[in-house]
Amino acid sequence: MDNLIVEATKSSPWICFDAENRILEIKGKSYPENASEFFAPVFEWLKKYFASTQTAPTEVNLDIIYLNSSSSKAFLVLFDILEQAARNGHTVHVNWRYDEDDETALELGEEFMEDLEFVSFNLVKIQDR
Amino acid sequence: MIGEIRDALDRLLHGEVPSPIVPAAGDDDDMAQLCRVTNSLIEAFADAHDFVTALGQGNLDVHVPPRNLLISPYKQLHSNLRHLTWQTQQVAKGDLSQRVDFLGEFSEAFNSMIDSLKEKKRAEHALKEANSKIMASMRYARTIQLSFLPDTEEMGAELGDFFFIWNPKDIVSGDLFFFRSLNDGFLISVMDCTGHGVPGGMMTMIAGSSLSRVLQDVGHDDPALVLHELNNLMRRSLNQQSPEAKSNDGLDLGLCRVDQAKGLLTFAGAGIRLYYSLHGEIHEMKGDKQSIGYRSSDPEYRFTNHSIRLDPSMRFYMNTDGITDQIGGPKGLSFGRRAFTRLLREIHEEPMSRQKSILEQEIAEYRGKEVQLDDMTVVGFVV
Amino acid sequence: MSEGERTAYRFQWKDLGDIQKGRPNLGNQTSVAVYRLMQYTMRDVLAAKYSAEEAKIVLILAGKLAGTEFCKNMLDTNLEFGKFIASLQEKLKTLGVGILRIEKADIDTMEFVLTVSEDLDCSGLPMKGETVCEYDEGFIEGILETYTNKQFVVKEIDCWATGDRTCRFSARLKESQ
Repeated sequence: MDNLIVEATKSSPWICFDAENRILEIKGKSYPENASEFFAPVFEWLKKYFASTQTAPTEVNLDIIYLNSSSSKAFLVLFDILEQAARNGHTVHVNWRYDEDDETALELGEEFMEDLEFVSFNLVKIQDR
Repeated sequence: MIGEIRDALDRLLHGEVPSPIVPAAGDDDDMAQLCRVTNSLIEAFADAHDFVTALGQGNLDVHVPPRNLLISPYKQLHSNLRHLTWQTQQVAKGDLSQRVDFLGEFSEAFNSMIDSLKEKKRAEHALKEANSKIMASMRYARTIQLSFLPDTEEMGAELGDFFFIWNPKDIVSGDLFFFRSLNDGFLISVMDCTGHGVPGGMMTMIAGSSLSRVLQDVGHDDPALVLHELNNLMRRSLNQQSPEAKSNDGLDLGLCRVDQAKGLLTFAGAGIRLYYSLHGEIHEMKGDKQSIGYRSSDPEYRFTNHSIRLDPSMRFYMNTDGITDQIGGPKGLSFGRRAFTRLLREIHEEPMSRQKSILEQEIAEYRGKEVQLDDMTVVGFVV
Repeated sequence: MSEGERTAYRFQWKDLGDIQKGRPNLGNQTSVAVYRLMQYTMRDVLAAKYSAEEAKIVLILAGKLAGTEFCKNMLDTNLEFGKFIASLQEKLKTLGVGILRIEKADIDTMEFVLTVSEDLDCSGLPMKGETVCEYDEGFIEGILETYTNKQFVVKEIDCWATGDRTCRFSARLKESQ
């Protein structure tokens, strides 16, 4: 399966989904004009990935500074897909990385975490970024 | 004499400038003439040497020895370089009518550069035109939206003191605030619809009129019920009842019902909080985490009413997350709700107009050179 | 000759006639040699009848009249300078008059340096001796004066040949102004 790599722009995050090493990363700010259009290929890739892959552990590293409201709705969909996969037997570890001074990012991570049952979700505080 | 001339010619061939040959007395005519021609050659070469050296260094303002035919090709080169320099200066000034003729590959390169600049200019012009049309239409949309905002005179008559910040990211806003006087008090609401700019603006129109419709249907005394009804009406209006719906848009909202007769404020929130001051502290009512109208919103969801006994010293605030999420500061992080609460605590005893300007200034300072990421709205009021 | 004394022929652009109509078969085509034959014999006769100096003056004045009329009838003087020069360059090329290249143009001080290659009038003349591009000097003067409404002095300051002959001209405002 091909990796999914999307370079960051001013208003969209860097995305690197590495199927072979089973590491999925999203990093940066997300406020694209049309979030559902932007994230559609991401969801599609994820669904294919979980359909094709073994249940060996998948690591998801999220390092998010800003999500506009439609991007956070998109993230809800993303977590839905992860949760669904975990429910079906995949091991999914999410690392939610946030700056020690970024309470907004921390709260956002906590909110996402609340709705997850099968996905293991770690809040990872980053110091001295 | 022949020897001297041969030496002089030899030095010329080595790129050196020999001193002129002095004719000896008694030379015959032919010899004198040879001597004169050789001296002219030396002189022409000396002139040429200075000229060509300067030319090689790119000094185009060099003196050109006139009528010196020894250096005709260099003169041609010099002239062409000066011409190209002039042409390029004209192009730099924006004159794209220039063309270079008959200078081989230079002409081709230069003229095709002009052609592509012309093409760019045309594209730029078309873009500008399209942009100015869009901007004009956005400004018109803003006028419509502004007329949809509450009448400040009406608010002033009802409220002790108030301020609002309504600062769209892109001319038209996805944020809306709403005010309505009632016989025994008033309703006040802040809404944050998905998107900003035109899509956000369209959402505010749907949200605003849906809210009016719901108030008509279920009355204004139960904010939580209003939110519930609004949730369902919005889902229906946007055809987002089914999980397969194409769109997933909605809004966050905070709604306060103030009953002056009972001395009571009742708040229900969907993703928007109510802050209020009491005895020097800022308290908050979180409201519910459920957003309104989205495909993913739960149609059965029952929102919660929170009531507070009114005290004349209390100041109330609602805001959209454009303020608290704005990126800035030394680390490029969100402003944050805690910072916002701290700020309110510091300034809440100031007159409302002063609070408004402090808030605006603080946010602008925090934002610094970052772009405004979302629409910003804050409403503050005293009952 | 002052304006008041004129009684005889006065050039008008329409005197060039309707060439398409007048030469339905031969049209605009002619040979450069024939054009030069006329101009050089004219120079010869003028010099013989008056003096070499007088002949030069007459050629400058004739060139100037030609430049003025050419500018009025063939060019758009409303264009700003850069575009005007570009259109002049294009016109001189398509009419086969010569290849004009501006080297320097200072609009503030009205000082110009330009070259003309493959010139219709003088590109065949020998390289030796004094300048011989009087008709051209006048022609350029006429164009600049008509465009700027100011009086100019145009001088051929250099010429060279790399196969074709190129002449360099300087143009500046007349001192008296």
